[in-house]
Amino acid sequence: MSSEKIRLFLFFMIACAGCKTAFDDPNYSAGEANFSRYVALGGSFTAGFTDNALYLEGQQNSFPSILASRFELVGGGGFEQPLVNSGNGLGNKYILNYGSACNSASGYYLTSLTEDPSNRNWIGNKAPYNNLGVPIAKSFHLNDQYFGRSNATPYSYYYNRFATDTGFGGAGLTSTILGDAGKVSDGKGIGPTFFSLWIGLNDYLGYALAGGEGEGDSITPDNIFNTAIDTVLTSLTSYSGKGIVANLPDIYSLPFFTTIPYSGLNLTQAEADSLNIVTADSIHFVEGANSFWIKSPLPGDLTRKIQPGELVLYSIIDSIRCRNINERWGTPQNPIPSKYILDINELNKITNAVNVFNAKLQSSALSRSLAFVDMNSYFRTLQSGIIFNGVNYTSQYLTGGAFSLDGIHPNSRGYALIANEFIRVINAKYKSTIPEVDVNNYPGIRFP
Amino acid sequence: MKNRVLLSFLLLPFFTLGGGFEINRQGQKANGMAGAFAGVANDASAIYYNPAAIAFHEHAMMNAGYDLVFPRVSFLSPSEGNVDSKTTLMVPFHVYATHHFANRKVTGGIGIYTPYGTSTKWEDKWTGRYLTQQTKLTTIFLQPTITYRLDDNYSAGIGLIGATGFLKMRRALPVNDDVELDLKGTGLGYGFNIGAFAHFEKLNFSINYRSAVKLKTSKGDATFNNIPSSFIDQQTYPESASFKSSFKLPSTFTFGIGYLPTERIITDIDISYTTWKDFTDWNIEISDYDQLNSINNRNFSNTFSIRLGGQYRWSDKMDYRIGANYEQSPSSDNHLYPDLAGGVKLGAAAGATRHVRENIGFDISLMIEDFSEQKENANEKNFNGAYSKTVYSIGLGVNYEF
Repeated sequence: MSSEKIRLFLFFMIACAGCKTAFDDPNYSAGEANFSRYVALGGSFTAGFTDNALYLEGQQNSFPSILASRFELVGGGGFEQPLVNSGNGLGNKYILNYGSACNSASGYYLTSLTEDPSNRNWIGNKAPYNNLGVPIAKSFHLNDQYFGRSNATPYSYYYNRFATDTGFGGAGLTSTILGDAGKVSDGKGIGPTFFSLWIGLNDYLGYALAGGEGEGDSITPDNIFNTAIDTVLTSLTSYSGKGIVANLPDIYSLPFFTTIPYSGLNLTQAEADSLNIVTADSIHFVEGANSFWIKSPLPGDLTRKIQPGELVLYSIIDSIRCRNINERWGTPQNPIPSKYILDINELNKITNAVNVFNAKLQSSALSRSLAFVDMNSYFRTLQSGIIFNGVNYTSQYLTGGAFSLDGIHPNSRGYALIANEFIRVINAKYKSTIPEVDVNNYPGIRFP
Repeated sequence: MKNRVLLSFLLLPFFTLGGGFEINRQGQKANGMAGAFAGVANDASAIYYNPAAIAFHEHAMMNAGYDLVFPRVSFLSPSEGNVDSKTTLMVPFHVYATHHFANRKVTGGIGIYTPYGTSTKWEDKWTGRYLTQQTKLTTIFLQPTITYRLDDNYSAGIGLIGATGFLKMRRALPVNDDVELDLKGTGLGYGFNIGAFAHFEKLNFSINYRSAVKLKTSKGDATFNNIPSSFIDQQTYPESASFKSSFKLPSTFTFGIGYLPTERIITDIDISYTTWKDFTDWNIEISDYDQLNSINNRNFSNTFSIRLGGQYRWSDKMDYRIGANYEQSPSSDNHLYPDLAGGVKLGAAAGATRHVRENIGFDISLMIEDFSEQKENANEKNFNGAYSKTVYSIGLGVNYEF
């Protein structure tokens, strides 16, 4: 190379040190909100419950925890959660397996792990916590001084384990979730500067999970729900007046209730023939999909054919998939027990309740000038699919990518999608510019 | 005349999105003038720039060279902030030779060159990994050419193109800790390159049309890694499969003017119209696994580009060149993906030739092309963000007159 060329080459290299393509760091701001003391209240969705259990990874990827990781970029403070031990957690955590667990061909099936009972013990008064989501909590539990008095049943240990006062000292009354929310503090003050409230799912879900049989779990009456929301929001807005309220997904958005179709009695020709021999002539089974037969409590405990639109709970999957035709559920001989079916009457009750709850949540948020995130329509959109960076997330059980193995709670990617929707609404309401998270960086379902 | 050309350059509409994959480095002299060469075409690389021009070369010639091309892309992600692509290297090359037949009415030539290509690579775990981790396209064109000289001023020529394309794509699929999908394919296509050249004392006019070339691979290899065993058992994903892909490289119509006011000075202006509309999609169809197809509509638009360049003969031993170019952006709103980022292109180039003997010269060229920032808000994959791209290159070549 001549010296001339070397000079030219050097000039070129220097020129290219300047041809920087990188973008400057975006300017993220909190806008009109202050996230230094963020507190999340709610039920299992807020706690990070997933795969039928409350376990460490689920808590770490709870949607409030994901939100807090973004609030950190705009002045958010620490985010403490009442974490369980790094084991199986609380509840019977589901694991996905593959093989021939029953007499049908190879397929996926669930097994459940035993919970770590030490997690029921009181973890001591380590308050304040920023995440006060308590699985199974209903609207009126947030301010209930009897909620969490012992570690005897889920209805108490989920809160008992981290309540600031478990009631053992005196009159038997405990601290309340709402009271604990007010204890969050830092050097600059006490009480949340920002809160999220997503409560009410358990106000109808317990009823639905019992197939509407109401054995100890009924839908929260409207007036109790309304009063509870007013109490909670009056208290929470007394600190800074800023927060976000979410409404509730309806039952049709949860794959636990929609995965088994009403015509899920799948028969071979031989099975159909054998059923046709023993049933009345008016009933005719065909090869392929047939409507289930169910036990209906009204009127008079009849065995009847399921109606289109009625829902079958996913918990009976093995009873319809694994058994031979003489024992399989869903035939006239072995109708599905009514506690695994949501019939039209029960669904109407649920739908009415969801409508009332959601109307209350929305009007309460708007009248208090809070941000309101429409999770009901977000979950409905998820049914048809929400695409994030090339991945199409849907409500489909197992394959949809957003729900966990229990078919009710999201997995971590689902919680990240939810966090992004909260961020979108917060940004719009409070003129903040908080960046979304990369949903695809969170764990999804683990396939064997 | 010149003023009018300048005026039309200024009046070209400016579009704000896009990015094609034309390499625009097919000869070291042309590179030094930012690709403004169709109106000069005074070496054997005319086989590419305008086949008709080889009729007026005083001697039969041979040119060979290559470039080291470094594309750099940055992506502004709504969740991750700035993300830089990994450094990649492309090595486009070219070899051309011409031969005058006895009566000098007919001139033959052959060229091997690499007109299209792209190479983009991202960190394996990057935020766009389900769209692309790596995309590499290389094309090699072989073009036998024949030219007929009508008289001292006019000629016409045609070359037939046999094209080969090599495609390599890698992306992740969202299962567990990601399944890796590797695609490798070779495609074949054909086309032609036709031109007419008018040669006067100080002025040349050049008209040239390069046809579209459809590259088609019907038996590419798709390999899947890291698949959960249940997916294999259920045949959700195959371990390997074949894939189909076909897409069109665009045609280009170029009008060029060369103006040689003195012995020492050469100037050139080219205007091209490229039918990027031909590049409608970049689909990959995996046989028997439709659900794994990637359907990528691109919806490109045709572009105008303009190139200006000049050469100054410093001495018998040294020529110096500079040039600049501009191209509208082919890609349209809502169809912008990280495998083909780009934008409105502005390029600058410099080059030199050292004549070591009367008939042997060594060339060097340098080029920087900057693509305007472009934003994507609504493509089918919901992969939003902004792109910024720069391509820089250094090229070396040798030319020999018989």
